[in-house]
Amino acid sequence: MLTTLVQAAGDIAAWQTLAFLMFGVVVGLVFGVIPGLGGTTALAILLPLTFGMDVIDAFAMCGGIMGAVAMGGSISAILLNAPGTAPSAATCLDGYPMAQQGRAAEAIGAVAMASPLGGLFGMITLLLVFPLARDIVLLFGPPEFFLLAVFGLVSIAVADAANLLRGLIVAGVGLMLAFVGYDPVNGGVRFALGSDYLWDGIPLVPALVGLFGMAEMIALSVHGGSVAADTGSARLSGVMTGIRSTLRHWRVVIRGSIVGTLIGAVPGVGGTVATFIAYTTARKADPHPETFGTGRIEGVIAPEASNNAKDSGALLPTLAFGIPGSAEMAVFLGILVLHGMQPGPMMFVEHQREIYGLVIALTLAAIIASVIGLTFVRSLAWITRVPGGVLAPTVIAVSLVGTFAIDSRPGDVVLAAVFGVLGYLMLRFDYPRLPLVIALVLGETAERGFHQAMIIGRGSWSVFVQSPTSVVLVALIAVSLGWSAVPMLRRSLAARRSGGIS
Amino acid sequence: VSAGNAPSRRSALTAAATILAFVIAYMATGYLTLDPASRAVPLLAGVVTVGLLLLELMRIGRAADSNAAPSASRATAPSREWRVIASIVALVAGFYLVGIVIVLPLYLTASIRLIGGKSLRLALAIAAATTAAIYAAFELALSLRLFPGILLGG
Repeated sequence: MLTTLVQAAGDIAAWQTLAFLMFGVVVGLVFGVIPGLGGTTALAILLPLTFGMDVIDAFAMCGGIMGAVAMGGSISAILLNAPGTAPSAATCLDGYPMAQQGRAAEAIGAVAMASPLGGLFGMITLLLVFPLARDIVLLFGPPEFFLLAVFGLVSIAVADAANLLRGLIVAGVGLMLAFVGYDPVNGGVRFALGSDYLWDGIPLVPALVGLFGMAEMIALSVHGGSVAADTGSARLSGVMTGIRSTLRHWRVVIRGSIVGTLIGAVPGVGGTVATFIAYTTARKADPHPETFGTGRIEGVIAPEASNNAKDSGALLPTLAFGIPGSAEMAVFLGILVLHGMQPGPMMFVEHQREIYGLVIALTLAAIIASVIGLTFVRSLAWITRVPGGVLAPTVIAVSLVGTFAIDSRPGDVVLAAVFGVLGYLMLRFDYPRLPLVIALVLGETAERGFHQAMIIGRGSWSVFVQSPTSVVLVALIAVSLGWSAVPMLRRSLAARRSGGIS
Repeated sequence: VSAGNAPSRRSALTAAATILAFVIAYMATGYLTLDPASRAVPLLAGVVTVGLLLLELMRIGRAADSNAAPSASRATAPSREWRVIASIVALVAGFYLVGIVIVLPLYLTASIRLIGGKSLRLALAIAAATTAAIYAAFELALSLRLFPGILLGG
């Protein structure tokens, strides 16, 4: 294995391959920064270009895009609360409040350090578990997929203990919205309001652009001012503080990376869930979870480490079974096929050198993207000082154009605007937005898993506790609910005894 | 109940009641239009959500008795809020009817001037620069055709 790894590193170090890697990094950063575009669009656009290329060069370019897009997406998430890519949405939660406090450079510094560390962790893990890939992926059947979806949803909904009830309500409404479109059981169309556009369900990226980017820009327009509340104190330094904080919070990096690698490896669940669960895990492990969402650096580090680690994890099912772990991987699968590679367990035997090359390219891309991001951090942080009256309409317009560019469907623009207003109303009425996103991501997986599991179990619910993986997941769901509900009930009872209402 | 809590409680109540109305309408549509297998999981999600919403409404009601309404809304200027939302509706309608390239500079100029309160010269400059950058990036560099609007052949 070590010999092949060294050979792959030698392949990537060739000047021509490095040039393709650099090109991929720049493309990935640009596509990551623009809300709505993301790595999937970049890969899809450049897919035909790889046809005439050497496999290693093509992998280096793709690795460059996939490794860098996370950094680009996080920059716009921090500066504008408009996640450039779906998984970067979790970075908004504490990254944007940091920018509002004039600590944008510190947050970007943390991203620049946490991303490559997460990527490195993912790479090492991937190299170690390659031989066990098949066994790991096979641990998950329909009942486990259903339970994993429920666990993801519950853990996000209860993350804000002070707003537990509203979190669960939003999760419920999000699930109902996720059921719009084709029914996975009968193939009929549900809740589409007579619109062809909704036959495939509510697309995630326009919804995300609306819920996060547009909603925040509407709020900025309404309230006035700039992203950094006090522009006089907005610090354009602090990069080193962010880097040092990441190294100091090495446990958060490792936890986030583990979550990213594990969730990334589960087909169909994807990076968005991974980053949000990494965020929730960091929050729950913290002695002051209530301060998350107010500009905690750990709230940036955890999802960022997870965001880059998940790429290596997502490669497992893609290469071992041809089951893409994410939309990006689905396009990458097309590139593999274009180059005559048939995904399957034999990939690890026949194309080991190319796969190692790809993994090295992914990690190198994260490092190069961080260096580029840090180089331009001062000019980027200036965005937080731009008056809201100028910034908000510009970002709203660019976001809507970017949303249209994904599939060239005018419906995406309408949907992003609808979700923008919805997101603003949720902000205004203090309803959390995260559970809605996670429900939209996981709704279909949950429903399909549920129906398939019930067929396997012949209508018996015991199918959900038959395997050790299922039992572990059921226990995790119970603990997540109990963790938040029990203290809430205790507070409520105590308040009732003392004559007040909690 | 203090006077200060009344609007906050009313907002919280309106929000919860609106969501409840949506969920009930969703469930009724599902029940009336779908076969039992297709509506099973959506209705299950709906029933659980209705239960949670009733708990939320009870919480708001109890908070009213105890003078401690749950958090409901941020202080906003309603007229400004409506103007911002109306500008987005106009942008989307214009995008759909006459396309991005025409509506974008108009929207940016109007928003920056009327809502942002900046000078007309600055608004025009930003509108022109943004439209040019978007056209160059999407139409020229990426060869992604910008929507021309249904009235102009889209």
